Amino acid sequence: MSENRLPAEVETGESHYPEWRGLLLAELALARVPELLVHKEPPHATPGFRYDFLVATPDGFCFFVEVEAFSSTELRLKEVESSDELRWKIDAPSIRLAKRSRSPVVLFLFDADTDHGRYLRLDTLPTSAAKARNTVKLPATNTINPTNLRRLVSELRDKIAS
Amino acid sequence: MSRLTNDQIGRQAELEAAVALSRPVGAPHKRPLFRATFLGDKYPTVDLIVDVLGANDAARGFFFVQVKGTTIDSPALPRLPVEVASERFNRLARLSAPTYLIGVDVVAYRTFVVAAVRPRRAKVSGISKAFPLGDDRVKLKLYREVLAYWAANRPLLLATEFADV
Repeated sequence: MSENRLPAEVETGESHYPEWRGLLLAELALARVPELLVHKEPPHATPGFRYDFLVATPDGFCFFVEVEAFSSTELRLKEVESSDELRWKIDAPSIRLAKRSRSPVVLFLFDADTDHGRYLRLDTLPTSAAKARNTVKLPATNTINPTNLRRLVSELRDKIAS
Repeated sequence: MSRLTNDQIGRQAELEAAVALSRPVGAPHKRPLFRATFLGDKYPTVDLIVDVLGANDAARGFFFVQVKGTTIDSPALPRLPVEVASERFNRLARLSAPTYLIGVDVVAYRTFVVAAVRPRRAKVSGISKAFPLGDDRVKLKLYREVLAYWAANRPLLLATEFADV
């Protein structure tokens, strides 16, 4: 097993494929949790709606998913999956929009080269008004897999209920 | 977890196949060689149309894929146990373009490809595990095979009745 490593700063590059492959990886990750109902919104189908997926449970709880992706090959990063945390820059307006949502908003971040992904809830993050972009931290404990996604859904539901 | 429905198996299998095909290969390419588009339930015979990608994601050819998923594979089985009716398989094999069948173990997340080139009398009851899409060498062979097909057949369309004059 790989040792945990220092945080890795990740960002979009010039390659085109992380964008479409990230969406594909997110859809597959959600399909691997078959009890979730997943609605994919075609780009620009609804003006003002900016999330990639609406995810619901059969009893009506729902949350939004925003997908981002990067190429570890382009960034020359090795063993991204063993980094203690991935750091991703996100626009302050995106966080403010998420905070206005009545349903939770979750960021899915994927390495389009290794399929490794992590998640982070956006609507409860603090925002710095002075900064146009905020760096968010995605810890290794938030690795996207069926077990962790079930835990995420359970935690989101508990917090909404309380 | 409850048992998967056929629709859930089918949807996950298609996504597993699309992700496996598009997973970037190593040097010298260091990028995806394929990009799949889902054709949806109403399109007969074919589940995916797969573009063969050049640099900058530009399509250089394509092939058709039928995807079958299973939840009952085991490493001890020599072949992946997927079933395809002969009629459905033969419709795929008769298309005038490269055609492949991809079998997916949706529990272990493993995908295997075989060509669909000859019509059959009996149904398909399993496919070889010799060509896993998790292996870069398999994808490179597939890439070269499909590009060779289109390189050989490209001149056909030059003789058209519908030239824009």
